[in-house]
Formats: sequence, C-alpha cells, structure tokens
Amino acid sequence: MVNFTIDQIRELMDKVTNVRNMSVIAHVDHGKSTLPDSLVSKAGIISSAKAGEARFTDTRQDEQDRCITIKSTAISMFFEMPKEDLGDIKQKTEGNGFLINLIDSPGHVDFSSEVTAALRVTDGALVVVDCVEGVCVQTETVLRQALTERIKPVIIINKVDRALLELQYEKEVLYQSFQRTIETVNVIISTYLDPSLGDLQVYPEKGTVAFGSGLHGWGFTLRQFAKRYAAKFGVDQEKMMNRLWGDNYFNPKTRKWAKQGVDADGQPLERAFCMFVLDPIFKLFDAIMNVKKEQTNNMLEKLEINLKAEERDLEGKALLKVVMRKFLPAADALLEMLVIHLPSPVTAQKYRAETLYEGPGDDECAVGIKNCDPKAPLMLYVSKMVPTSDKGRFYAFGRVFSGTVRSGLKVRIQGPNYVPGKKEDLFVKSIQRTILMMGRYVEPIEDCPAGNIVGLVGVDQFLLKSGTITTSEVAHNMKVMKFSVSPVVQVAVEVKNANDLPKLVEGLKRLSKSDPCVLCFTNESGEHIVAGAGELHLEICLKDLEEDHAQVPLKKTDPVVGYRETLQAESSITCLSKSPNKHNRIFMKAAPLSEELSKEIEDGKVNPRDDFKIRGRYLAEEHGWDPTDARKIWCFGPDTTGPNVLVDSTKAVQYLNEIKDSCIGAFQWATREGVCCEEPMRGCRFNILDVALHADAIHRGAGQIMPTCRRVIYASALTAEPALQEPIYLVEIQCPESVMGGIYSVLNRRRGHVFSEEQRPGTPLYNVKAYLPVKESFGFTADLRSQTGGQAFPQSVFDHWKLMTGDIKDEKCMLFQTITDVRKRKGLEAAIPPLDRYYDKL
Amino acid sequence: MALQGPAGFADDGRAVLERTVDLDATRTPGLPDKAMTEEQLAVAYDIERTAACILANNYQRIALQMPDGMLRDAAWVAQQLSKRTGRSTFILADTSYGSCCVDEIAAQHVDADFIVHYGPSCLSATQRLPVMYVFGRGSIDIKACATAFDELYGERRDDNIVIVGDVIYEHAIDDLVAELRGLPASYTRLMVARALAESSGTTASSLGRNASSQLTGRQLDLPAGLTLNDCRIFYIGEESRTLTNLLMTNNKAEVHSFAPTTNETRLESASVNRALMKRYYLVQKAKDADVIGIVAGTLGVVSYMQVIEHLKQMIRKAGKKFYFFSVGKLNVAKLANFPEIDIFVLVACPENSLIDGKEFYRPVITPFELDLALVSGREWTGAFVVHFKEILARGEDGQSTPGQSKDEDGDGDGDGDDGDVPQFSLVSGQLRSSARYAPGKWHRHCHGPLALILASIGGEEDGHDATEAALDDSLSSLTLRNQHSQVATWRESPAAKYLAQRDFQGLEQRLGQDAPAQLEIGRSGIARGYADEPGRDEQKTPSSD
Repeated sequence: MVNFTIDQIRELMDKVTNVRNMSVIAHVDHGKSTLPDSLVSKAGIISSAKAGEARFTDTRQDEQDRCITIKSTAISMFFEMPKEDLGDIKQKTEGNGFLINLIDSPGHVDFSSEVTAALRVTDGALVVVDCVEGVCVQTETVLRQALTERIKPVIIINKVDRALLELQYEKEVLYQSFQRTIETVNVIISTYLDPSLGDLQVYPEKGTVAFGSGLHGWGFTLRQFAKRYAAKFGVDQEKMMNRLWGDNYFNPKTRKWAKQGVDADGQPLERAFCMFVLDPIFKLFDAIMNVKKEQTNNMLEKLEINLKAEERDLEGKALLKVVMRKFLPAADALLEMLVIHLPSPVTAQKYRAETLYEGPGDDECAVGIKNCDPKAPLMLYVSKMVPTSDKGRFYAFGRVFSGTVRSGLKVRIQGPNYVPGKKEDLFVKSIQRTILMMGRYVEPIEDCPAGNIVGLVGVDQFLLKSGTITTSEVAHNMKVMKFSVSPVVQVAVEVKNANDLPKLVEGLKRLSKSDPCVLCFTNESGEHIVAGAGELHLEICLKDLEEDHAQVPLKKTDPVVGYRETLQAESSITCLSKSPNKHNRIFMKAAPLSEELSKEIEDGKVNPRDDFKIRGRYLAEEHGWDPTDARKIWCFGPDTTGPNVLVDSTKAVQYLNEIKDSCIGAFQWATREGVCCEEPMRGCRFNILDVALHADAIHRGAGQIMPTCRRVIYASALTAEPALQEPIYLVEIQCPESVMGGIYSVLNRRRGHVFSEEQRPGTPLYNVKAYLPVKESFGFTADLRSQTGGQAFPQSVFDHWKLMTGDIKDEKCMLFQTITDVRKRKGLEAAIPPLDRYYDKL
Repeated sequence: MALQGPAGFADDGRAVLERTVDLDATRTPGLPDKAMTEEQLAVAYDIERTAACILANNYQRIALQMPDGMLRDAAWVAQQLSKRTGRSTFILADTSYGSCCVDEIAAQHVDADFIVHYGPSCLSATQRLPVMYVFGRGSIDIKACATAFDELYGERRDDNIVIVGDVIYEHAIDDLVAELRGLPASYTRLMVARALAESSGTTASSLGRNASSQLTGRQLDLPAGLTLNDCRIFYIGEESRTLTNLLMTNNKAEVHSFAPTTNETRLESASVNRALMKRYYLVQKAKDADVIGIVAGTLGVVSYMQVIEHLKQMIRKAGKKFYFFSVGKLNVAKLANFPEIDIFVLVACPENSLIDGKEFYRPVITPFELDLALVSGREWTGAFVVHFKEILARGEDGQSTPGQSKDEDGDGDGDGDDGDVPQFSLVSGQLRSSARYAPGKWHRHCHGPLALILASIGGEEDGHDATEAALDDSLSSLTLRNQHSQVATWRESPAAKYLAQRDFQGLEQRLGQDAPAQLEIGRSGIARGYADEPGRDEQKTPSSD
C-alpha cells in the first residue's frame, strides 16, 4: 500500500525547501540498490518483507538476473518527519512533509557515465561503503565526481552484519575499521576543498555518517543513540553525539567522562561508542544467534521492541532481521540523515549555479538558477534518456533548475553544440507531457517547478543524449557533463540478413540515445562501430542492441582498440612540399607535445577559445614554449579541439593570413587520419617554418594549399620518429593473498604490470593496482576469475595513453606489427607510405 | 633550383609538353608496337573497316579521337584515312574528360559528323554524333584462356556463364567461344556480352536496349527470367576500371578474371564487398552534407543533362544547396578550391564515376549514391547502379513514394511539423539537423548589413522569384529592431555561413580609418609573369589599362 498520493508529491514540489534530490553512489556490490529498498518499503511501495531483496530500483530483467545495476533509476518518495526532529535541520523548511527524489546508480566502472548523469540532477549523494572492503576504486571515482559537481556527500557504512557474523570483529576493532574508512573518505573530500560549500568532510558525531545493513534493513546514526542517552544522562543531545565518537570514554564507576582510555587505577576503559552504541547491538546479536531465548526476551522488553505472534517463533538470522529492523530501522536513519544533512535545491543551487551554467552569472537564467525560482525563465537540463514502453521513444529525464515546466509549454531545446545567437542545434517545440519517474512506473503530472526531477515526453527526437531546455532566448547551455570513462573499446556489428540493415541503423540510433557513454558510428570502411567503456559495457550494449533496439540477429567482430599516432622526436629535416602547380612551397617541422600539455588540451584546460595572450603566457611559463610561438597557435585538431597544434613560426611572410584557412582545413584532415595507419594523431606539434607563395591569389587558392599542407604535415610526421599510443586501463583488484600468484601470472601474460599492492588493514584482503593495455583486456575478467577460483574481481577504467616505442620500419617490433594490423583491418596498402610521396625536393 | 621568390615559380608550361607518356606495350596491352610495319598498323587501327564505314555512310568530316598512347600514330592514321576516303580528318588531342568517353564537344569544334574513337572505351552511348570504336587488339593466347576457363567451370558445365572481355580482347572472343564449343563436353549455357563497335548516335536505339541485358555497355541477351546475379561471369582482361565497374554493379555474381598478359585466373568478387562498404560510408557522408557540388564529368554520355537536372531536383527537394561545377578532368587541387562544398557528386561515364576519394578533401560520389542518401525511403541493399538510364528510372518511381512515407511518419509522431527533426548521423554518431536551404524559405534574422550582401552573393538564381516574394512579405510585416538599430533580413545562405567561419574574409575596407593615399599605377600583365616582376623585363606583356 503506497503511503502517499501523486497529489501529495505534486504539492510538495512547490515547497522546494522540503525537497531532497539525492543519488546513491558506491563501488560495485557495496549495496547501493539494496539500501534504498528500506526507504522504498517505508514509503509503502514494496512490502517490508521484501525490502533488501527486491532491489526495486533495478528495473531491468538483466539487472535482476546479474545482480548488478546497469542503468540509474529514479524514484520519488514522500515522507513525514517527526515534528521534534525538525529543529535539527539547519536550512529553511516548511512543514514536516518531505519529498525525496532518489536515484540509484550503477557501481561497475563501465557504467560510470550513468553515475555522472545521476549526479548532475541531484544535490546530495549517499555514498555507500562496504564495511569490510572499505573505500574502493569506484567509491573514490564517484566521490570525486560528486565533489567536482559540488554535490554534498553523506556516508553509510554498509554490511555491518557481515563484520559481526562472518568476521566476528571485536567492538574496538570494528570501531577502528569504521574510523579508517571515514578517514579515507575524508582524505578524498579534503582535496576538493571549496570555500563556497564549506567543510564537506563527514563526521559520525555530526550525524553525516550512518552505519547499518541494507540486506537486514537496519541502520543507525549517532544522533539516534544520542537522543536515547541524552534523556538518560540529562545532557544536551549534541554534546552526547560528540561524546559517542572518538576518544571519549565513560567510567561507569565514577560516572565521569574521560579523554584517556584508562581510568585512574590504570584499568582500561571502554570507548563510549563501543559501550553505548555497539554493545547493545553486539549483545542482541549474541543472544539471538546463539539462541539465548530468555536473554533475548529480556532485551526486547528493555528496548521496547514488540514482536508479532508469528515473529516470535522465528529463530537465528530471521529473528535477528526482524528484531534489528524494529530496533534500528534503516529507513529512519537514512531519512534523518538525508533530510537534515543534505541540501535542499534552494540551498544547493545557490552554490551550484556557477558550475552548472555556461553563460554569464548575472543573466536572467543564472539568477533564476541561483534562486531556484519557479517563476523565472525555464532552465532544465536533460541528463539522460529513459526508454519507454513505446519502442524507439524515450523519456527525457532531467532536472528543472529554474522556472516551471508543464505540458504544452513551448520551449527551446538546445543541444550540446548550440551557441547562443546561432540556430544550430536549436529547436523550438512543445513539451507533450511531463511525468514523474517512479522506478518501474511513471505518473503523469501537470507541471513541475524548479528544483525537481522530471521526465518529459516529446523532446527525445531533438536531443541525442543530453541537452538544455529553456524558455529564455538569451539562455546559454547548461554545462555539458564530463564523463570519467571514455569509449575505448570498439566492436563492429553487421546484420546477418542484408535486408535488416535499416533496422540496425535505427537500432544504433536508439542505443546511442539510451546510454550516456556509448558511441555508434560508421567508420571509413563502412563498418558499423559500437564503442563502449569496457567489455561489460559493450556486452550489455550489444545485447540491448540485438534484443531491444534493432531486434534483428547480428554478427559481431572481435573487439578492437583505437590507437593514437604520435611523434617521438623533432623532425630530422625541414620538410618541404610543393603545391600541385609548383608555385607554392610550405616548409615544416614536427615535434612531440609534452604528455602533460596533451592532457591539458584534452581536459580543456588549454583550449582554442582561450585568449591567445593568456594562453601564450601559460604555455611559456608552464610548458617552456617560446613566447612568440606560444602566441601563434593557429589551431588545435582534430575537430578543432584535439591535442595537436599547428603553429605559425614564420617570419614576415606575405599573404600568410590568406592561406590560414586552407592550412587549418588540411591540419584538421591530417590529424584526423594520421600518416601511419589513419588513426587520429595525438600530442603532435607542427611548426610552419616558412612559406613561399605565388604572388597572385588565384595560384595560392585552397586547391593548391590544402593538399600541399596535408602532405607536408605527413612528411614532417614521418621524419619525426612516428609511433603509436595505446590506451591503458587502470585495473584494481581486491583479493585474498592466496590468489595473488594467479593475478600476477594473468597480468604478466597480458603485458600488464602491478604498481601498487596494499593490504587492507584488519582484513586478509589485498588491493592490487595495475596498468593493463586495453588491447589485452578482452577476456581478462573471465581469465582472472578462472585463475583465482573466482576470488578476484577486477575493475578497469581507462587511465592514459601509453607510447609504444620503437621504429616503424623495424619489422620485428610490436609497433610495426600493430601498424600493419591496423592497416590491414582498414583495407589500406600494407606498407606505410614512403616519405617521397609527401616530401618534395627543393 | 634555389628558392628565388615568387617570380621563379612561374611555369611556362614546359612540363606539359615534355611529359613522357608510357608507351611500353608490355604494360599497356593493346597498344600498337613501335616496331610494327605499316601492314600491321593498318590492322591494328582497322583502317580498312573504318574507311569502308565512312564511305558507306558518306560522312564528310571525320574526327579521330585517340588516347595519349596512340597519338604517335595519329598522323599516320589520319593520312591513311584521308587517302582512302578523300574526306577531311581531324585529330582530337587532349580529351576534356576521360579518354574512354567519346568527346563529342571537341568533335563539334571542327564540325565533324563522325567520330572514330580509338583505344579503350567505356562504351557509353553517345548523344549527338555517330561513333565508331577501334578498340585495338591485345594479344591473347586463346588456348590458354580456354584451358583456364575449362579448369574453372569444368565441374559446372550447366551453369549460366557469361563471358565478358576487355575491349582490346573483343576480337578474340569469337575464337574463344569456338574453342570452347570444340571441347569434348560442351558448355550448355554459355553467353557472350559483346561490345558493339559502332554506335549510331541516335538516342532511340541505345535507349531502346533493355537495361537488364546490358553489361558495362556491352550487349547481352539473357534468357527471360534470368538475371545476372544467377550467372557466373568470366572476364578476360587485366585489372581495369571496366573490371571494377563490372564488379561493383554485379556484386552478387561470382566473377573470375583471366589476365592474358600473365595467363592467370583469379576470383575477383572476394574483395568487392569491402569496396561496397566503403561506398556505403560515402552514402552516409552524403546524408550529412548540406552543400553539394554537382561536377560535370562528361559532355557526351547520353542523357547526362537529364541526370544533372534530376540531381538538382533531388537536392532541392531535400532542402539542400547545390553548386554546379565544370572543371574538366578531376583532380585534387581543382576540387579543393571549394572547401565550402560538403560532398561532390560526379556525373560521368560509368567507368569514370567511381572515384577513390582518399586524396580528395571532400569525397566524390556517384548520382546513384546521392539518390540513396537524399531520397527518403531509399535503403542500401548492396545493389549498385551506374547507368544514367537506371538512375533516371529510379527517380521516377522515387517521386511518388517520398510523399507517402512522410505521411506515415507524420501520423506516428503526432507532431505537425516533422520537417526539422534532426537525423542521426552515422558518420559522427551524433544527431544533426540538416540546414535547409529550400528556395523561398526565409529566416528573419537581424544582422549586419554585410549579411545582406552575402545573401545576394550566395543566392541561387532559381530562388530569385521566391526571394522577392518573401522580401515583399517580410516588408509588409513588422521587423523587430535590434540593439544596433540594424534592420536586415538574412536569407540563410551556405556561402555566407562559410564565410563567417573563415579567418581570412578578404581584404578589409577600413573605411574612414586610413588616410587617403595617392593613386598609383599597379601591377599589370597576366599571372604567368607580371610585367614588373624581376627577370621578366625581356618578355614584357602588353599593359592593359
């Protein structure tokens, strides 16, 4: 029985101060999807018996089957807070009804893009950490992502039942383990110190850390215990909370609090946390698990836990579950933490506005976002597309940051390439319907004011994956999301039956809509390519493509990896190419860019839109460029933003500005298809040293300059020790020591190498970090599992490009082999073109 | 040669005159040998037959079109023909397009009434003048060819087999067939595609031919109900554009080739799929193109004008913009002069149509591929068409379908105006909304006066009426004044859009910013070498005021 109506929710949407938009983020298998179940059951959407097993937010069949979350799922819930707790909320509220918009996100690295999309529309994040495994690579990644988006984190340490039942931790050991986990989290948070947000570190004594078990449905914060004891000791609740964490000890004999762990007689004292918080839990566990009936009943009575008749007959784990759920309901702990400590949209948008909006900070849209004003112009960010039951159509899922969206409203739909004042990527259309996303279900609503999460019908055709929806003509775009994963693994798909081709094309379109990260395109050889972040991601995408989107049988090739062409040295000679009419000459030398600079260009730190003077100074100071050269970067490429530059190093050349456009065109073209095997170039710098041009404009037109410039770029690349860069995964594996040998042997076989190996304190588990070439990663997970008896589970995420050193002419080296393979795959002639094809003699 | 500044670059055209042509007969089969006697040459150039044909039809002015490799003998051939017929003969040098096509335009310059085309030919039907082809005679070992044939098909004697020969081996096909018929076990379903050595030039007869029975310009009589896809094709000749063309257009049939120079056979159809997929990619590129350049690649092939008109129509209907180019023989430099064009479509004879666009700044596609890309409802099936007649035929049945399919779309979406729903581009994997430059469709836009000027430059002649109508329309309604008090209506023009992106936009006027200067006498002469350039004094060109 659902405890609330859509009308209630709609009503609350207007009281934005009582809305909490939050996402649940964590490492894979730390219990993200299980935890929210207790909230969902409290809201009455699923029965409490099923909570912890239903994984209500895993809506897809394969999610249920594989027990992993693949897509992020949103659900809106209505709760009422006890009136007496309202006082603890430090921000403005109105009444005691609260609307929680919760988004459950996947934990596997391959689906990080889903997390990014979820974070964008929320203001707070519930970070779930496994009490045994601690902070893992993905915990760190998503936490960092949350912090860059200015999202406030709260933590729940999950699976405490495991620590008690399986590992049989002592109280103090458990405390130490909690303490360590919290510290690790805080170390990460403190690197993102942002004055506009204040201190984001989490503290149990402030109530921003909860402990519990999602599976068993119990959990607590110190606040709950402090409330119980505050009355008993007659002290202030806040003071009590402080005493329940850290080095605070209670001496039961003197009934005095102390800071040292020993009393006056040198007797060890028990930590307050252990004594007041863990002790009752431990006792309860002990009594129930060891079937001490009498003791159990005593305790139940003391804790005022009433069991139903049929529940009294339960024993062991089942009874424990029921009792703990009544004693410390997880939903209450979570709810309290979310409502009190996570910001409302009003609070959050004040400091998030500047990181969300591309335009000036004082236009009507920016002001609307800052104030979360439902009467301001509409600003809505669509962060992802959710498939509807209607094949090929999608709900646009997003957040209203300003204004109010309603059915029938005529809006401007601005795609990611929209530039204010231009008409590209802009559509003016009406919203057909607005809906509320409720896990597996949707509910239509009239309208939706600023601060809320909403689904839209009728805009999916105009946006591929994400975009901005507004009513203001002057609105700039909301910032495009930056993903921590990149689609580095490619598979070519083909229809088995030639007549199905149109269906495949349509399917590719739907697939690229439905996933924030996947890339679908046709390459030069006419193959349909699906590119994903990793093997699992691709597997899911291809399955979706075959079964849902295209619904035709497909043939898939083995996965292939994209390379980058780069340089290892400066050109050995000054290269010259003559135009077809022999009247124009371009002299050029190429040189590698530093890895740091390439990365900065890729990250947008150095970009074509910078002021050339500022950029020039930066390059001269940080990267040791010649200051005059640094000011004369003609362009970046490929796609005008890539990590290669064309630099004008000429001195006083006539008509040079006239051929600039032709050179830029040629440079974009040449860097898109490098000389070795037509892979994109990366980290290359081309200096135009001198240019001799015909005096008459007609003889130095684009037709003469463009092919010439391309040839000279190729010539200078060929003389600059060209090489390839291959993508490398950062792999993190958690495993017991006994299987370490297996991990090393698998990694060695695949050209991987371990660079960090740490034991998790207090556990027999090791954390192994390694670099592994993406090319070698196919089948890695399966291989590793079979070598370690299923005890090691890797998480791989693209980390960097690594130079494959060698000489392209040396037939024995791997570089040569790789280039030959790529050329063969692309149907190019086997040999790298000779220099004299591009180089002209003077 | 040292760098001497611009003047030193001036080219006096020596390169063209001094270019050596590869005349090695071993590498270009079918080319008459240097050492041939006059009798042999007369056979090679088919003097007898040509003369007879001229006399029989009473042609008065004869144009001889020869490829570069044969020009050596051109004078001799012309002499012989004049001697035998007493008519005036003209040698056409340097064809405007491919040498495989009959150059009717050049022939019309001399007012010829008959063309003799020498050398390899694409056998495209001509429009204006009667033509006779002299293919030349490649040497071929018929025994070896028959043996190879028998080895290939010996097991499958009852299959449909079509023999096609490169035109230079045309003379040997009859002998080959005779040889094959002479074999102990005969081939029951052997067919031969013949290249006709004469074309009347009257369009009626060539158009009357059944398209399905045509194979790369050759005539083939297929039994009813049989398509080429069910046949095995045996091609005699080396790798050539004819073979490529044959492979592309009959990509479902199994094709074997026999190269008379090496006496080797091989299966050709294995690699065709790859080539087709590359063309598929080009079709996707064409879908993304907003500005299309139509390049005339022939002035002789029958109904090329209709095809060009058809393409214009098609592009207009798709709301895209086209420019029309005539650049003679294609090369990279010529087409790269127009970087604002997204894709070129080449209207040329079948053998010159398939351009490998790797070196071109923008890809060059065939009319058929453009048809696939622009006409809604067209799907890539793998079939490939190069003949104009088939393209025009597709156009006719395409005209009725787009309207229907659009309606169906409209119902499904329920949104009134679906015209601007962005398309999913398979090239980039992104959605892209195609710019629509349909004539008469105006976008009101307040922009600087420059934009208006640009609009008139970019305007296409056909949109003129619509332009004026729309101008009237916009003048009668209120135009919003922008912050700079500029009132201008800007017709969306691709040229203006492209210019706006450019860094160098031409010389600046800098009106009122520079002090007035004294008028000076400027440079005079032609670009090849101006009068005032150093080292040019001795060959002063007349100065034009």
